[in-house]
Amino acid sequence: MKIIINLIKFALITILTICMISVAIITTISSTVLNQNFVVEKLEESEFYTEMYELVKSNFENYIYQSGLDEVVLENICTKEKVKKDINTMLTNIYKGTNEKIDTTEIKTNLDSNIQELGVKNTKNEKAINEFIEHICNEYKDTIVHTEYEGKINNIYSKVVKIFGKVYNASLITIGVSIVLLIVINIKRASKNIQDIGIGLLATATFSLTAYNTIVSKINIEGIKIFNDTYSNIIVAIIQEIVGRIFSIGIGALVVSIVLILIYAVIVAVKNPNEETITEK
Amino acid sequence: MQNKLLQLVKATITSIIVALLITMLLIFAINLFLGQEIEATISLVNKVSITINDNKPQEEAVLNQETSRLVNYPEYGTKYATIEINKIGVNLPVYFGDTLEILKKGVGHSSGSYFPGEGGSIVYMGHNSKNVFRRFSELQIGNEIKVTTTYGEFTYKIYDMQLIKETETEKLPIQEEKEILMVYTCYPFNNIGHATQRYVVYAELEK
Repeated sequence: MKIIINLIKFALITILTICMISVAIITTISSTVLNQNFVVEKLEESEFYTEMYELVKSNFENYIYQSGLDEVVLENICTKEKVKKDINTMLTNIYKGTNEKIDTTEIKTNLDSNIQELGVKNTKNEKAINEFIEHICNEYKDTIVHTEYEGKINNIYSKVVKIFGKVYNASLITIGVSIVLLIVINIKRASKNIQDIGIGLLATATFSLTAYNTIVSKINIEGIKIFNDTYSNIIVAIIQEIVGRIFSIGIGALVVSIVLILIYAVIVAVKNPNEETITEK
Repeated sequence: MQNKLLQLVKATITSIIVALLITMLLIFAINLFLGQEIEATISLVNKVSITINDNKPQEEAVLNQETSRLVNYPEYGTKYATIEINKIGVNLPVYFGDTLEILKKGVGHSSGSYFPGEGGSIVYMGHNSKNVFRRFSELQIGNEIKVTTTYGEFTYKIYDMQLIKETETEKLPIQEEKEILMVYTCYPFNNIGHATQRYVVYAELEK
């Protein structure tokens, strides 16, 4: 009987640990990469908008070399505020599932006006110049929004949020049920509950720290390069934040678990110096 | 007192052992059911992760005469040669790579083509701006193009010039039977707007 009870307890603590790990993972991801406010905050912190603005200007300049036009035509065709607004529109499309398009009319009008001022546009080159303006507008969209990915990311995002919501609720309920069952099993000795929760937390802590160590040792996070340096920097910053939070959860759980385990050990030592520690009497 | 201390230590160690047992069980289960997926994900992430060792000096490229292949290829984006076309006053740095960023600095070397001295097709490109290849139309058959690399000097003689569409990549064939230098720029040279044609100069190795 004693063995069966201990096995049931072991199973319950294992389930408790799995649920605590699930809650920790879901909380971490939901509050970081799945949270639009967090992403916007990171973009602000890492000067993303400024870098994107510079990147847009630099990409425009690349077109000017083959266009035969003077660089002056690119002056003030796009503002940093517009870049910021359009990036935020893209994020809203991803996170809220909206389908707002990026409007390049402002760029088109400004560029056309600058070219007109130069006085080089005539019926002969009008078509080529219009094509050039179109290329600049498309370049802007390609640099800023990567529109082809927005819909796909939003679909994945919606599915992940739904699944995470269900798993999170199920985990919380299971944690509650497991604790209640442990209390029932330990009804004669309430102090055992402290130990059981301490063990669950310690297992969560060691698992989190192992996961942290595996990620840090196997992946060169800082070297990740996607699209361009500006995008890469923000992706690296977000991944580092997530990994950092996993580490913090691990350390936090480790401290609490050690405290709980020590409290239980002290209770055992003070109240029952001759009693066995883990097995049921 | 000793008994109490012993109980305290025993209770603590037992708790730690049980916790570690659970952790190992979970790790084993995850490895068993998701091990391959996790490894694949790590491998995928590492594919887009670049290790930059700034402390390690780039070893100089050397041409192996026996195999006609370079030892220590230049790093992508680095300057490894200069191109001189005296006829049109061109003397520009050549970078390995063909990104727009590289073309802002000088002449780009298409990464899919061979290097000078390797005996195959070499593809260079540059803008048609004043400081680069604007005067390409003045070139004639027989004019020389000199490429000075970190591992040797190569002189090519122009034998053909062609006007191609931007999509006609077959006009820039990559082969390894004969060393041919193909240099191209956007056409028309004084174009305003988007250029859809390329002016290609073909030159063969002279010495």
